[in-house]
Amino acid sequence: MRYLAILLVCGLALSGQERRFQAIELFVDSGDTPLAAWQIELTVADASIVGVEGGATAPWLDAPRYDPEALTGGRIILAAFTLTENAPAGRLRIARLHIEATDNASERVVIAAVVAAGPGGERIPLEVECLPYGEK
Amino acid sequence: MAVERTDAELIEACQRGDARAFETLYRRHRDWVVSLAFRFCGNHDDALDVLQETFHYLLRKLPGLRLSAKLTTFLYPAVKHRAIDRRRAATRMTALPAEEPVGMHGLPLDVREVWATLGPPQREVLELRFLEGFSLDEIAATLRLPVGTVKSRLHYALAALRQKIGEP
Amino acid sequence: MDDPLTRFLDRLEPPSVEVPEAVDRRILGHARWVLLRRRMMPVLAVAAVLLVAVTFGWQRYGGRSLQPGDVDGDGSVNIVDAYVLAVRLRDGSELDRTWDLDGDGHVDERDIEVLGKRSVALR
Repeated sequence: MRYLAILLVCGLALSGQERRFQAIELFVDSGDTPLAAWQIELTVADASIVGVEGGATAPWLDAPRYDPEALTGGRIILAAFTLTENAPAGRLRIARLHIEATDNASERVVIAAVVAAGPGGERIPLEVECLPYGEK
Repeated sequence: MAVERTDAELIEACQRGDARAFETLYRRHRDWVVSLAFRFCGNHDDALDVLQETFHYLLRKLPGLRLSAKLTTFLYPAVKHRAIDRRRAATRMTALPAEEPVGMHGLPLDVREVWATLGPPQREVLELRFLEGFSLDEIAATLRLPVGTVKSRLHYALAALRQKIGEP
Repeated sequence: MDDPLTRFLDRLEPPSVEVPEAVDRRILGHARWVLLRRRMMPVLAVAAVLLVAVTFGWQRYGGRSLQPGDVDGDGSVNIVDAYVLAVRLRDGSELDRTWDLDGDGHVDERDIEVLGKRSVALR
């Protein structure tokens, strides 16, 4: 809710520009391996990242870690880990980004780097997808 | 024409790992060492062993060696003691007379007979002066004696020698 | 007239002893080996020191990067390092002093936080 309030204030502050806020959902797929830790760097051209939310299911409900300096810029590194013994595998929504741009910015999201690990700390492959809010 | 390096210069080169400098030293003094060894041990094979032991000794002493005179001055005591040790070991095992004066092997019999009548200190200075060609300073350095003492011993040694060979 | 003493002394000739070539080769071969070893000693000493340092470093760091916080030794510092450290803390596993990233003398949750921040830092 706090993030939504920030967005509202930002939206009211803007004048004379056709910028709009958009939410971009971040999906990952670790296949059959439970996901224990992940880190994703992404950039969005001609846009500002204004907020970060958590994912859809435990253990990724809380917002991931990020550098506050990333807000208002177009580059961010998101990361999180869980010590839970029953970390889920497969396709998961792990975060939601709030972006301010003049058009549909989701198409301009570039995944710059991905790091993921299974429960034993071993590196695992991770597919990453960014979709506009509401799309699955 | 290349200037021949002194023993001290060759030693310094050896200390830097120059094997050719060591070979030069070896070739320069080999015959002297083996001849001296033979004079004291009286045996050809033992003399060759002493030759090898002496140059091994030199290699061991190289790191801290500061040569202020000829290498022969440094090596003389090493050769002599190793050769005498060999001789003593040989006389323990054979019937050679133990009282035979050392350093006489290879010299003419009549010379040895006269030489044997001299005392050891006199023989030693005479050998170093007239057999090995050492200067008075080199004899003093080898025997660790003052030069004055060397002069005095040499004087009395020559006088005694004159008397032995029948000189008035 | 010749001086008898001089004639006598002239007869003092050191004996001549033949030295076989094999003896020369043995002595000079030994000398070459000793001098080569001495020449190589500084190089060998440096190599030995480097070998010890590399071996110690390898054992100490297991061939990993020496970046502070590279807990899993993969050459980079990221969230996986924070995760691995968290697991080791949870399991009571052996901890490396170099993982004391906040410098308080302990390896604990605060160091995990430091790693987490470093992982996502833009600069």
